[in-house]
Amino acid sequence: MIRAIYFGVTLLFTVQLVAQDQRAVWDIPTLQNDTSKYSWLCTAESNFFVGSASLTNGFINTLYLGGFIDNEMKSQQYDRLSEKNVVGAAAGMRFGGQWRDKNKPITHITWADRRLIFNGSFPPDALRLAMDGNQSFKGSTANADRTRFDYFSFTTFGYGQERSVFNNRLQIQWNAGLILGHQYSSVQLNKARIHTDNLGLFVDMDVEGTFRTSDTAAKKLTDINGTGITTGLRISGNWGSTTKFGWWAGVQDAGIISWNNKGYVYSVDTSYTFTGIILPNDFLNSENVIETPAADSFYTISSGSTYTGVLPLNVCGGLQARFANGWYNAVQIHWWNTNPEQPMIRIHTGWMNNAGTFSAVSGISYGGYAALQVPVSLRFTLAKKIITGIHCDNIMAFASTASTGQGAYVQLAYRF
Amino acid sequence: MLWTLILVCAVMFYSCKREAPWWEVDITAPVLSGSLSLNNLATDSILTADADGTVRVSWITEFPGLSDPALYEIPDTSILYSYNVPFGNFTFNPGDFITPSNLDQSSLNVSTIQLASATLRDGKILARIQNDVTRRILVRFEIPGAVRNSVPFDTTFIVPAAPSGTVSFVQFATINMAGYVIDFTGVAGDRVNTITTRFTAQIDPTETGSAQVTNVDSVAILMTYQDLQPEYIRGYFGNQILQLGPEESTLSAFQNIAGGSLLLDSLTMTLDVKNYVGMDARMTINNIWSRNSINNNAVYLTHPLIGAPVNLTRATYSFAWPPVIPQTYSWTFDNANSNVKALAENLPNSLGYDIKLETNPLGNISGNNDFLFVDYSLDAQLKLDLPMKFAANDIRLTDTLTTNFADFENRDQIQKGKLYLHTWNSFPLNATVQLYLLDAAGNITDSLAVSNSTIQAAPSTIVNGYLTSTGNSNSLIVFDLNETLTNRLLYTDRMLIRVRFDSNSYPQLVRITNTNRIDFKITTDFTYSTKAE
Repeated sequence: MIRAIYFGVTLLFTVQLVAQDQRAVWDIPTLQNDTSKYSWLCTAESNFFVGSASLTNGFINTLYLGGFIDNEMKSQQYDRLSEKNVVGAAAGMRFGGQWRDKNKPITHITWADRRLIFNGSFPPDALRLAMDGNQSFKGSTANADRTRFDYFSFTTFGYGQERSVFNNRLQIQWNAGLILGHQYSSVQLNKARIHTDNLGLFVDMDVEGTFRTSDTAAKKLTDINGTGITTGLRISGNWGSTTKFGWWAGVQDAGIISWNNKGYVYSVDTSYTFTGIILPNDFLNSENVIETPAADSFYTISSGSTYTGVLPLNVCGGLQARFANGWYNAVQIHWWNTNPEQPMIRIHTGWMNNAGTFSAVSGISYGGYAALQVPVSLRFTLAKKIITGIHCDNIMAFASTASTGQGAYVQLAYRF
Repeated sequence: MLWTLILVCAVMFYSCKREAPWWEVDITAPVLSGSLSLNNLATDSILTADADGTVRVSWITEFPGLSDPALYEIPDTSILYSYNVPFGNFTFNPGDFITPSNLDQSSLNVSTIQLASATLRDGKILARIQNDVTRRILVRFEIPGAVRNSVPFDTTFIVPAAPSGTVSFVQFATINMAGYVIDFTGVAGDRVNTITTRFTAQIDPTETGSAQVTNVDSVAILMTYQDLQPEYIRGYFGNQILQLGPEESTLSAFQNIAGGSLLLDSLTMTLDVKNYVGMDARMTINNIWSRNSINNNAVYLTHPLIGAPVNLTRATYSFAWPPVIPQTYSWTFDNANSNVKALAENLPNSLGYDIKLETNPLGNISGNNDFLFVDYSLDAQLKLDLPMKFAANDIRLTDTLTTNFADFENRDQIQKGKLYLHTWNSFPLNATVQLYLLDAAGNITDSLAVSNSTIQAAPSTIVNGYLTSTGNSNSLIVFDLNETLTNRLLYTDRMLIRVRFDSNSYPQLVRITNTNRIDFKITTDFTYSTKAE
């Protein structure tokens, strides 16, 4: 019974991990703590997450689903902006399996783990410029320095093992995978300042940055533009008898993708004053005008070189206490290298029935890509062999467009 | 650039969405800038500056009618050269001549002049050769008086045999005559307008067998002298009366002025005539006038030259380049001797003339040695010289501008906005600007109305009796464009611009200097929807 509770708690921990920040290999039901007789487990999962502490779900939904973004909605976002704002999104689908043999480590295989990741950070003026234009900056300078957006998609094929040591008091899980990179795009503006004259007589632009993209001619789902590797490690332990205590710590997505040399790099490093079209002296008698510099004169394009990018590394850990009556409490912390200033802290409580076939979890989390969230998870085991899990990252997303962060996770596992 | 990158990111991020989100952004941007000075306004003119900086504008207008093609035109002329044996039935063997070898002297269709010689710049002879003989013949055609590169004109046609005794063979040919110097004085040199030729025909010596020729069989060649364009002619150009006009030609200087009153300080008009023709002439200017087509008011020039005949002495050969030494004549019309100022104050858009030209009024005193190099004819120029010291009252300039908003594919996404016209004026003149939208037929469909559309005159002070600007005045005209007007503006093909000029304290004269100009810049605030229609 206790093992079943532990199994459920662990599972829910990993569910949250996946939904908030792309999935990890241990977010699947694991045979390690499964007390059933079954030795094989097949899993299928899918998830998505979109979140930003600075952008409300209403705003993001409108961006995604379409519709008019009015001034009230814009103002709502502006009120939330801080000096540095982040936005993250991920979606994925994975198929995997694992099996166990007596006295041997449990083996994990990831058949295909397709993931799309978007990550961005921007200063307030960048959003104001994009949503309001430069008119509100008359007589001042819009500063969009350190604006960055990254997008990439890839598929992982992985192998891992999981074993218990020290009389089952410590569990160690590791994994390694081969990555096939599909597409990437990256905008990095180290400097982006636009000064609009008070009378609109000129607009000064001072921009330095790059835009990288993978091969624009190979954008199908099956196109491969890069290769890479990824690894992960998780250690967990527990102690206690009536009340069980547990801890865990892990690193996931420690990896790189080397993109091939068919991509392009657009580089811009220019200061330019736009004064409009300058009419020639004989403009009254001539149809010819001096054209403003063409857009392609502002940047240089290069190709033929490879580009290596790192995966969004996640370092995480947590503590939990499980009680004999089926209730448990947990606290966990997550940190991402893509958003280092704001780790996510989550506190939650849950309950699991004696048979371990149903569990429900809820709590609060703050940080990461979103602000305050209220996650809810449910898990069922049907006919002993089928395990289903549904998770919502933020139940408030259904109630208020002013909420931040939203995501969902569904899982189907079959053991035999 | 930044917006583009951000939008790229947004598109990248939300590429799976079913419907595009949209919002409105308010853009401030400069549109265009430029500078208006007299260099722009006084088109087709020469601007100079006096020592005190006063701009002096000169317009030069050609009198188009004086180089009359009647002086050197050689009409197309067709001449038939034909030969029949006198009687009976003759037998001709290969190599035998069918025709005698006589010179022929025929007249060209030239009636107004007596042509002695010409050097052709272009022209051709179209030849139609007819052979009734049943053997191949050689037809030789010579023009002894036509020489090119020291070689007389001499050409031979090989004409196939007639198919039968009753069917002729006809052959055509074209001969380029460019570069030939042709003498039109005949064999003895005592004629004019005469082309001397020789036409012979013989049985081709390489033919086999003899040919029977009767007196109804002929060998003929029809020569058409076509499009003969001389570059030099000599002869007697006759005593002709050439009437030039009355005609009116466009005067670009005031072309765009739609109305108003103008007071000029002074104006000088100069008429320069250069006679490059080796011929005496007598010119009588019956009238010169300016016409304002808007009020149809014509002002006629008064000056002793009007109506008085002037003898123009013939030019002489220079034997160098250019080949002519012209005789030059010049008359000046100014405030003191004419009403020329009134011609300009009429704000004319056309200048009229009525001139009579009599050639060789004393007869053929050159002995057929009048000459003309076509590129050097009788030229006349009218030059207006206007120091820019004037007073203007409600001078209205209009012009149409062709717009190309159709090239802006996102024009439907511009919702509304404002256009700002910023000006920095150093002219001592006020200007009021109005813009109108035109339909395809040129009718005004809407206007960009503003409450204050005045470009203020520069601060000025009186220097030597003339109001002279001492600096710049800044003005801002705001055109408010609602959604309807914005749409109409973006879909118009043409716009009408009307500018009214007033000098301060009319009729106080102002002085325009070479540093006066209006710098302008158009900026805009507009609302742009990201939603594509």
